[in-house]
Amino acid sequence: MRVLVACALLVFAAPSVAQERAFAPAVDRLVSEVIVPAYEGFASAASAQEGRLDALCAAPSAEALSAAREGFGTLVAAFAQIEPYRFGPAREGNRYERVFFWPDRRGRGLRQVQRLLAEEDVSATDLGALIHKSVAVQGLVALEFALFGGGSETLTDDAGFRCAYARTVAEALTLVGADMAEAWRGPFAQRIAEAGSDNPTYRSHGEVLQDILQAAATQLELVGAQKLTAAIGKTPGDAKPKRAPFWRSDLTLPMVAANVDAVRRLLEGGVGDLLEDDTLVRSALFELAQVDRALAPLLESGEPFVSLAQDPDAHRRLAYAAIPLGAAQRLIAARIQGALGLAAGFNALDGD
Amino acid sequence: MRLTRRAALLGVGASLLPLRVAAEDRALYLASCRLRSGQMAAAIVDEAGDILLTEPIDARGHGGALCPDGDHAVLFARRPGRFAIVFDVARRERVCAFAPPAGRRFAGHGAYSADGRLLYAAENDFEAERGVIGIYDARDGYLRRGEFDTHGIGPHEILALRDGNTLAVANGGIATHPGFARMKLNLPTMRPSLVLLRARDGTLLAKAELPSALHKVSIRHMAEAGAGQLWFGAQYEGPAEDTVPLVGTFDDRRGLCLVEAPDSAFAALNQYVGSVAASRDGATVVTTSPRGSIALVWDVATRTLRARHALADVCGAAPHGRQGLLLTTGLGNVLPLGATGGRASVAWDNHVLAL
Repeated sequence: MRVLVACALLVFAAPSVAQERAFAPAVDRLVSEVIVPAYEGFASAASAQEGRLDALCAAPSAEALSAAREGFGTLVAAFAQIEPYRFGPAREGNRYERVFFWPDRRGRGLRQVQRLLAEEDVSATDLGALIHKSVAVQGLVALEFALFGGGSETLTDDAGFRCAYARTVAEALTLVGADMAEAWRGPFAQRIAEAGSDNPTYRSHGEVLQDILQAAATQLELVGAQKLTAAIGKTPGDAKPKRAPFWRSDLTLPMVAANVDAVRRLLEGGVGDLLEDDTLVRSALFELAQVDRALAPLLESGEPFVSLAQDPDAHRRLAYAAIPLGAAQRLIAARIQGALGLAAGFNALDGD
Repeated sequence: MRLTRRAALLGVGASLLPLRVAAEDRALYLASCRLRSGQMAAAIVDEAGDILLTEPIDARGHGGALCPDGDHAVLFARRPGRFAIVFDVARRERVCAFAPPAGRRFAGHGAYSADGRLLYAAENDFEAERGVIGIYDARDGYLRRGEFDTHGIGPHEILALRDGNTLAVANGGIATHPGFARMKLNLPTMRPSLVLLRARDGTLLAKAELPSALHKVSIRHMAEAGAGQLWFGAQYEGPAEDTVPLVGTFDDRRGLCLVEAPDSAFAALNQYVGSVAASRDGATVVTTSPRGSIALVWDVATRTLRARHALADVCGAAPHGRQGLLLTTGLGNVLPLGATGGRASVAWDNHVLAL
């Protein structure tokens, strides 16, 4: 058995001690200056949305509805900033899916929301009861349907069940958002700070950094493959724009832009300082800027995503955006992690 | 007694063996790997890490199965897989390849029937979110003859048990769809199971689930050990802070149960077991974790942890000799447990199949 251990020592690809020491302050900075503020932003956006829905339910009007719909956009953009972090507090108690149940490939979640609205299930207007229902009826996708889906126009003059349900969903989002922010500020931050051989979650700060960078890379892959490529198809003719998240509220592209911004904040939040030569980080930032440039005219056009996906010129721009997204993803997943001595093993990347 | 190279190694019935088998003086293995150029390949490698064949493949491979006569072996694509490749072991060459039908994808594992006539492949009917076992005719160009329901979502490893009549299926419980890359679509409601089917007609013989508190323990890999025990390894989809036993057994007497070991051993797995293998004598099981870079060795008779080996990016595991086991790593190592092994210049994939 001694031979085995000797081999393991020879081939172990762990970062060196010197590097490991340098990771701790960078990780601390990423957590306290990028991730925690993003969670706090989501929690306060949810709470503000609860306020707007209170106002709408108390005095329904076209103005109150449009304020609630605009507020929903702010909330989705705030969520897009925390969307990459599927590890840690988001994995506790299905919090991630509670907030964002997507993809709902077979439309099961949507049907549950529609049924609940049709039946006017009053228990869904009680926070304590709502959080014990299916994760699909208590998150952003459910709230979108309540505010933008078929029948939502009644909200301008009817403060009935639909409004009370939307308000309760916002309340549930505020609760989950506050819980996640609290965990990232408190116990989870503590666990990260105490990374070491006795820590069951993280044996080094390098592992934390690896989780963070992997989250960024995975998010870019998901944006390119699922939110864009799968929704627009190869040609405008075979676009399936309703596969994209938040097409009803026309927040698909704003969400994509906010996802890109979330990754940019990580890269600018200290990752470059860890590398002697920050060319790789600058290259990744350049690719992200290319994505923004491709999408900017579409965001400014005010055209709904559903028609953009089927318009030849817009389709070309959307298809192009996936290319720099892929380039940035590869830079982060392989080259930046490799330069930091954090490259994941061939077998360790994802479950199989 | 069946005549195999195994018997030759033990010095039994050597005079009756066909020439090529008697001539084989080293243990051979089939595994998928990534070549230094980045090209994915299937490879036949010996216990010292010397590669005898590399066959380029279009995408990353995964698990394999050996025909009971030892002549042929199949390697499946990684899920969601679109190909399986059959090799002639003695000639060390590719024989043919086949694909699942429209609407099905290989899950990465399969097993031959006891008589070698049929190949069972774990598959996903992804539109219906239903696991199936595709049945392929090994004597007729691997034509698909039909399918069985696995009575669960996301089947992964399947085994043809030694009794010759039973298929064991690890239904990982995780719904995926090729249109959504490798996203997990049903984590809040996943319900993994271990299922036994009658090989002849797919009749459900047993279905075992862990307690609902452990519904995120995805049962994915298995090996048939001694004492009538199936050992399984799981990956955990719950919070990283939880320390959950990820190794367990299934047998007639106890049903499905997790094995006891110090928390530190399970914590070291980093929520993930990538491969499970049993020694040929059935006395030893190994569970590997590339995420934890650790192999845990278990004593089957006492159901206790016997040893832990730290080994970077270890995943592949297979029997070696009668009592031993062999491990492979993403860094190229081929290591018989407790012996010196070689290191090839390739990255070995999750599984290695003893030929």
